Amino acid sequence: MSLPTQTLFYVATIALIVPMTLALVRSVLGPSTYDRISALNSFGTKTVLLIALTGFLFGRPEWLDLGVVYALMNFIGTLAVLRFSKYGSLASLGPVPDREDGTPTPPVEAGDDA
Amino acid sequence: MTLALEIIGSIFLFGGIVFCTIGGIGLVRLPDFYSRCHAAGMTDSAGAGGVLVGLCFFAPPLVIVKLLTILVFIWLSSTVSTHALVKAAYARGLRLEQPRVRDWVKPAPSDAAEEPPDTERGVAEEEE
Repeated sequence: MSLPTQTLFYVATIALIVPMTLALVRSVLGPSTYDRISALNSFGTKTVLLIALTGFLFGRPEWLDLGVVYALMNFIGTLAVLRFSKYGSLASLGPVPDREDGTPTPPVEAGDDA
Repeated sequence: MTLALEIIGSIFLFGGIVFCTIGGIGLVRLPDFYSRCHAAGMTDSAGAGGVLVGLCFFAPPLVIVKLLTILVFIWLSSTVSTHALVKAAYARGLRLEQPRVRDWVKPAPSDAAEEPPDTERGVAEEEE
């Protein structure tokens, strides 16, 4: 790989670490759970981009398969954490608990898009 | 020819990284959860699009297929998870902090009762 291309990929990889750090800051700061879930979802997407970039940098484009797997895991993980935070467990599908300020959650009406 | 392709690829690549950085700054600086979800969505759609399309210009054809597959999957899955997240947060009572426009999901107040503006932070108060 020629030197300008390699420099390009090095600079791009280092430049991608900055938004990853910002997402981590939001995941630590975020006052609500949903802020943290959103920040980690975006961190996972940037991880996939980092995997693709470093795969090209080290001359191993086979690492894109790892990127596909991690994108899948990120998506499923976000939905699993959402389900856990709503129901308190990954297994049971009991009634939805009340809202955190005490008001009861309204039931889903027919015709409401779930 | 190869140099021209590499220049175009690097433009897309850095455009994607600029969008990722703007999304990251938005994640830290915006005041409200729903605004931050928009910033995160910008990272997923334009940031990932720019980076992966930019990498296509450096790769043999099989790798281009893999990159575009990852891109399409990221676009579909991030849209779905952002929608699920925002809908779950709204259903659990996380309201807009300082609504400057009307909250279209909440039903409009009647003309008789004039409600004060909703300035509580919803579930954020419980976390502190």
